[in-house]
Amino acid sequence: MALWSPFRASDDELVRRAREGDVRAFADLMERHQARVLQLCARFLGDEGLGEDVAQEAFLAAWNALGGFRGDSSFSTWIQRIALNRCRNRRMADRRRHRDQHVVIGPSDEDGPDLDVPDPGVGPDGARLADEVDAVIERGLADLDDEHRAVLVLRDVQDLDYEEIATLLGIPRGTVKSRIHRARAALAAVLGATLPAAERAS
Amino acid sequence: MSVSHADVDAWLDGDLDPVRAAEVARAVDQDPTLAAIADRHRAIRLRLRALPAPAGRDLRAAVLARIGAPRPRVGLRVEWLGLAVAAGAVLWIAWPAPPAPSTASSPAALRLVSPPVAPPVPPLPEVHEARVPRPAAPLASVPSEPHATPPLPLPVAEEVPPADVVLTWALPDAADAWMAHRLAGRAGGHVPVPLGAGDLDDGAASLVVEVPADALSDLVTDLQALGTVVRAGTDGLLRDGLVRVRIDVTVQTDGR
Repeated sequence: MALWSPFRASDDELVRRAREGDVRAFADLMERHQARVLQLCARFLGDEGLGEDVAQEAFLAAWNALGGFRGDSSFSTWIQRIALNRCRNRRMADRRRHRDQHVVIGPSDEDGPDLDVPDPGVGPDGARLADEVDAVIERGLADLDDEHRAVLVLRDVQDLDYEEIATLLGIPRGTVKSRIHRARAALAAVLGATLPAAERAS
Repeated sequence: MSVSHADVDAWLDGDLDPVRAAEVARAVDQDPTLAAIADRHRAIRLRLRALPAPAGRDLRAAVLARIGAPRPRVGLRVEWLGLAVAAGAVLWIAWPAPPAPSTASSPAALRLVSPPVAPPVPPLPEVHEARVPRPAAPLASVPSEPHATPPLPLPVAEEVPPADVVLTWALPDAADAWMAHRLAGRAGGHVPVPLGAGDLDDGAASLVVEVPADALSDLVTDLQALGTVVRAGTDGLLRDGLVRVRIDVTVQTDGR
């Protein structure tokens, strides 16, 4: 049974100890941050299993790169940046693989441009409709390009503010603002009339 | 003062100062188009926040188990390192001496039997994907001096494909570029062409690292932790087991 301690080490302290090779300290860092990292990866990649794999890779990479972590940003920002980079690399590799294999994506393929937006007037109950809207939202998110998906996930899922997102992505705050707007507008276009119906249902 | 559609999102997100927020609020009240955008985007925000969190198992055991194990040197990296070393062997033989371009056509043998006494480092190729030439003469015909040190195990050079040795990834910002610089030093290499602030302001920079061949894999692993590469090419094996790697870093100052 874990003992309660009034002295909770700060992230900085845990990072310092982890850099000296203290695996236990790194495990504590993981315990604090893994839920957010997992969520970021799963939402960015649109797949929980894949998200877990990439989150794991991100923590391993962080452990290997701890010696170079200067503390200019928080550990939270740093690990999320590593995770996001890993996610982008994974997507890039997947896209390359698909291109190399000349996969033909038919109109019914889920990667295709046509989203199957549920019709709110066809009688599913409220919970079912909400689930379907979730699915459409997730697919709409997956159809955004990486830049727009990243800002939207960081803002609306991870709840980072504009400044934090700008720091994490290394882009100006104004770019964050415009990308968030464009990303939401794109999602709104995909959802169309479904969204108000889902709001009423939930 | 005009209100853009992006201002509406910033207002929804609480990113505006109070004065500007009040202006946008008034505009949204008065303009049906802005009000519709606010409604739709507020709903998007709510739906995204309401998405169920991934169940996600505890990753600690899996990660800690791998931390305890030796660093993996998996397929691509080993293959890449092998290519780098093999390409280096060829390059070392075939690279023309910089001061006298006319020696470019000299037999490879001359380069081998007069081992470099701190030779000038040849300039890096201008192109990122430097092609690695095969030696003009068969390696078996290389003459040896009676007292010369036995050459490298050259037959490996025959296995070098005529392809470029290129690893691609990209670093997303200046902080990571500096991190790459530090990692290179930590891997036991030195950096003949350091990154400078001026380079970074230009949106791209080059990092040239001479690193022990056996540390290259770890360096690449660490660099990959930072992510996003554009490309890195190797100039191959230099001397004393050093491999020279060129890493081109793209620094994002705005959206890609």
